[in-house]
Amino acid sequence: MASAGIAVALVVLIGAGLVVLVALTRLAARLRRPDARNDLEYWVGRQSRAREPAPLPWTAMVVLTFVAGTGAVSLQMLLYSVAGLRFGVGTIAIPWLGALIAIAGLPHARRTAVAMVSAPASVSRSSRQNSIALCLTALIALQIAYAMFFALSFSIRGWDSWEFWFMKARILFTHRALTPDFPPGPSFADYPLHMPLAVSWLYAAAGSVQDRAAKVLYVLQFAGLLIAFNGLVRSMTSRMHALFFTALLSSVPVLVIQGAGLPPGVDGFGLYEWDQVGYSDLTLSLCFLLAGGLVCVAFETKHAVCLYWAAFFCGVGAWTKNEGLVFACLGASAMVWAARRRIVFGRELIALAAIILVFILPWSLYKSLLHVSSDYMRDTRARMNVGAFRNVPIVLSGLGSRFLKATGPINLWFYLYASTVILNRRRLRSSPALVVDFLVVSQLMVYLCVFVMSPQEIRWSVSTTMSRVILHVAPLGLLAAAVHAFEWGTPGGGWREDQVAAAE
Amino acid sequence: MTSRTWLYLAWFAAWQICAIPLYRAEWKGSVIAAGLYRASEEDRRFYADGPVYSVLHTAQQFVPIGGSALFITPTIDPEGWYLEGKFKYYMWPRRLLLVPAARLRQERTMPDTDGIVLFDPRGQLADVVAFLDGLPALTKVHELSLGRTYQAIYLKRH
Repeated sequence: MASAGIAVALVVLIGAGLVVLVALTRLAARLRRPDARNDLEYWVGRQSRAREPAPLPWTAMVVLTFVAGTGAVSLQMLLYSVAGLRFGVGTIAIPWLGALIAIAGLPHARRTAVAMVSAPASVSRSSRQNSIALCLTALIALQIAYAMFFALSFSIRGWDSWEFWFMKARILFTHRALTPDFPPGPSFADYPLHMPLAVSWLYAAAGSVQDRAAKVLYVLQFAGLLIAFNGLVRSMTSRMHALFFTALLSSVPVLVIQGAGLPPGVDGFGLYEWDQVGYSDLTLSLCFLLAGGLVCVAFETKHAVCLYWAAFFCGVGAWTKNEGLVFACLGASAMVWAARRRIVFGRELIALAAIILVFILPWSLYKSLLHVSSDYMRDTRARMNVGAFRNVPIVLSGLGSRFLKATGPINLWFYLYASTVILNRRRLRSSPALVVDFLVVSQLMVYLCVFVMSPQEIRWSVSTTMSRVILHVAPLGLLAAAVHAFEWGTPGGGWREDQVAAAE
Repeated sequence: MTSRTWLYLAWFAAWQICAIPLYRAEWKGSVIAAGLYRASEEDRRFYADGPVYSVLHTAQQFVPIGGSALFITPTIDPEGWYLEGKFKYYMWPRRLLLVPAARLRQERTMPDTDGIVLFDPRGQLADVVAFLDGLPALTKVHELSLGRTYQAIYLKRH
């Protein structure tokens, strides 16, 4: 019964995500109508006749709808609480069901929805390529199978999961609302509630607190991250290239620790770095990948709708963890950059900013009304003194140990990223991945500054959180590495799969 | 094969070699998960929580919902926090107050709660146990020694 409830909850999430993405696409089409050169109607409105492929493979689009669904449903639950309504399965699912029926009834919206999940044309490959692709796919599938098998074998085991993420979900489920006395209860009251609300939605559908079954959300995010990564890279490079880099990403230890968990006693990892399923870092990493990856795809393919979706995932990221606020600002800067490159009109920037703010404003207002603030924001001026610079060597050595240790939590990520940037240095300025480089490096720089001014004991803070904050940008960094490597190895550079196929 | 293919192959090999500790841990994890395949929910919880599970399970039965309990550990940080987080999560909606053994030894007084949960992973709290045993207002309702781990639950006498 509980499993059936959770299955229904997941279907509702995907349905809600589909509604949101169709609405964003229609909004983009409406705002861009005067633009004849880059008219979105071309593929969202007359898809069946034009045979223009959707910007991403259908598998990646399913992941986009799933993540958009968790973001939208959790925001809906917050708004219900603010309006004094208690959330239940019916009250949450019925509006989305109504919207799906409306989409099915409206021809333009229906065509948009169908276009979103239509895969790009397949490309013929040699038998040798097929066998390599099979091996790489098997490796990725094995990692996902391990995550399913291990994570769902027992309940949560990570400290942050008990202390606040799942604790908040438990409290929210019991009250069926966000009560005014909620934030002072569990620790880290200022943390956004995207994942606690998403987990409590699963509990509501299951009818009880099922923390073992609710871990499926994280396993799906792990699988979704790999699938979305593959789709994003594939839309800018080739199928083999995308599979190669996805296989590498699937064996990044910190990703497995957050999506599946490992048994205790693994050598070479930091404190508590063996099972962190139930934390929100994987979710944030997925949001960053989707937002940054879609911006990159927009730069490469000039599909402006990708920027609308990217803005949405920037907002969901800010609604997942406070670190997402910084990324949302960086994402907004990338959109201004896109406007300068004439991918979107200047007037569309207002719409893009509004999409991001839809997720940032409600929680910010709620926190300010209840006077909830972050430890990091308290006494900032007092901490910005010369003494804080004593932390710099500790923070840099912590970062260096994660980056440079080959068998550490991020494997050879740093070496691969740095070497592809160096190899592609001649085309760097014209590369669509430059915008991803900007996002990754800027986000890491902000983290370093926050560590230096951290109110926590610095060694403790670095040892417990450094790997996790690198995880936030690791998949996005690997995406940039994949694009750089492809451009370096392809004469002329910047050839996508469809162009390669045409050349063959 | 082109030089580019060789480079990709070298990267892949290096990456996989560095991932060996991960794969080894995954293999170990798979063996554990396979062992739990037909296990009951209780056995799964016991695996995830270790010896903490039995004291938690008992405390949930004795401390009333909406009530409060005192949680005594040998240390506060970081092991005490780690255990406190787990206790808080499973005991909710009961209120849990963490008291380090050192403070109890010093002050010899305790806040007024419905029960006391004592978890001692390394057998360091014999004096605290003796002190609690000697308090007439308390009844010991649970006691278990597993190797060096000692756990007990006391309830207030009514």
